[in-house]
Amino acid sequence: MAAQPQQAPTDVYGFRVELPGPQQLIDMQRQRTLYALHEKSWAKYVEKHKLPSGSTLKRLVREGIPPQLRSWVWMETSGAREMRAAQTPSYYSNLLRAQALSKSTAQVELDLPRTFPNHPFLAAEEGRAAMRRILTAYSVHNANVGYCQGLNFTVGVVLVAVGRDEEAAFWLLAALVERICFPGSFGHTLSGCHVEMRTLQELVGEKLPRLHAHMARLGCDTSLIATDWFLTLYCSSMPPESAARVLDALFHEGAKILFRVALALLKSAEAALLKTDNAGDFMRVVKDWVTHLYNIDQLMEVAFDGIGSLSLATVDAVRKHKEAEVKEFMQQRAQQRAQVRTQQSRPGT
Amino acid sequence: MAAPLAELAQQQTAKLVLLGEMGSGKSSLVLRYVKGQFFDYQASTVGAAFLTKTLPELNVKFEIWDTAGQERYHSLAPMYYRGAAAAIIVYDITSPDSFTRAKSWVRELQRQGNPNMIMALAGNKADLEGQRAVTVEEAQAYAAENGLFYVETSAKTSANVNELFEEIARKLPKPEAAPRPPQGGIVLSENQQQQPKKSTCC
Ligand SMILES: Nc1nc2c(ncn2[C@@H]2O[C@H](COP(=O)(O)OP(=O)(O)OP(=O)(O)O)[C@@H](O)[C@H]2O)c(=O)[nH]1
Ligand SMILES: [Mg+2]
Repeated sequence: MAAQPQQAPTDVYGFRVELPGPQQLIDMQRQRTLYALHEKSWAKYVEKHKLPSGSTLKRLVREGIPPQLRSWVWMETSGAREMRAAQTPSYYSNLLRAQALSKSTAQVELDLPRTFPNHPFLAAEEGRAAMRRILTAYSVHNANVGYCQGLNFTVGVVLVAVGRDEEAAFWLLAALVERICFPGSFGHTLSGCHVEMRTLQELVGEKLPRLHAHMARLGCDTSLIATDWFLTLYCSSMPPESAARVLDALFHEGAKILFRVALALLKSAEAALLKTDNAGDFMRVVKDWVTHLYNIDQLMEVAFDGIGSLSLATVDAVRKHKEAEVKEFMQQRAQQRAQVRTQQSRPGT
Repeated sequence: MAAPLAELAQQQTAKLVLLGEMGSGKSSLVLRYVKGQFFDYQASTVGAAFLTKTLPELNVKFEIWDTAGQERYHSLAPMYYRGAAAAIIVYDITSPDSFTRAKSWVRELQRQGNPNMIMALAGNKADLEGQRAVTVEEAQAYAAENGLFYVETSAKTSANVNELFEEIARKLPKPEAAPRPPQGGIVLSENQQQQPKKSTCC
């Protein structure tokens, strides 16, 4: 038997692996073998520097993009390269020069040291400076969103996965927020995130009715367990190497992947979840499971083949319905808060 | 409501929620209290975290919901404070903005929260005395005016952290107080203190 390494083991991107048991090491080893296999499938496309077309691309992406090809493939499939090409070549550096316009500097600063504090690059000054530039530039580029807590984790994972190419990471962030995720997901009221949470709740009802009923009994709203899934795109929820695998499909197929993965996570843990008897326990079981999810291949199989059909049209129909509900909820809140504010002038009772 | 006597000996479960400005130290307070740990760089909370802690001497089990602090997450908060028995509103004594934010939480809970909710105001990072920007007097006056339990804490040095949670546990309305048990609630709760766990067998 090989001696245990002195240092904590890390994934392909240098993120520390939390090991509750030896199974995780086996899962990770399996992943490495798969990468080697997938590299062979991608070899001819790399040689021609041209992506495969249609269904081949979809299949290869779903199987998992080899880590060193992610930068290239993500830029192409997400539309980030197009977004970049639509601007002048100096666009990103101009944003950096305009950093003084950002209203998010203080919040970004507060979160930088709190973003993957154990990662050798991201926790070092160089990595922090790169994340600072990306997040601040983005807050200038898209003032409606500014800085949304959670995106720091996404940027961290993406930046490392694209080989520290800062500008690529910036444009991938832009593609996620502006093209891929539901509008308003990261905005000043998170209204889009509310829509997604309610949509997920409904989809759980369709695909996993027993679990849905159980959650209703416990008063366990989907937002309790899934907010971080949708606001960090799994980058703070799963081990980063697993999250990158979700990003592979997300960049290519769009936000419905977030639902497929969410449903797969719940489905795979269903037996354990049905045994919980309060919302807190439910949340703990989910978190334990997702935090240590190294066998991402198995999960993605469930996501793609284990939950039945889930078309964008279906998701959009539910969203539309939920959007109206959320709008009303937001208006009520705004009214309540306005009332609270007028009371402010009077002394408390 | 009217619990049979046998149930009175059972542990009381209390939902506790932490609210307050991002970076004020909510997660750090919980982590210090539940696990005795502190990290200089505590990862920021997205959504919420859930932890539990049992206080055998007081026969209370806290179910603690630690929420995200950024302003835009505010719209998700009702899900967490709904039905909470207690709330800790945290501010950072070096940040006047975080104190303003704390006051707005207090107002929201007064309006929307459970009317019997125990509310505590925690001025955290008390170890950073040199950078203090919110005085004890100001916070104390505000707390008194609003009927809040107030204490300054440090998740870093652990000053007043246990005290904060224990005081909340003591203030919780005791379930046996309502139906007025035959022997009187006080005697019973003293028995519980001596035999926290095995009291259901007899
Ligand atoms: N000096 C000092 N630093 C503290 C104390 N409590 C927390 N911190 C630091 O302040 C920062 C923020 O603490 P968190 O506990 O993450 O704050 P939070 O309120 O949970 O923040 P969000 O999750 O973003 O809402 C971390 O870097 C902590 O190490 C304290 O009592 N003293
Ligand atoms: Mg926190």
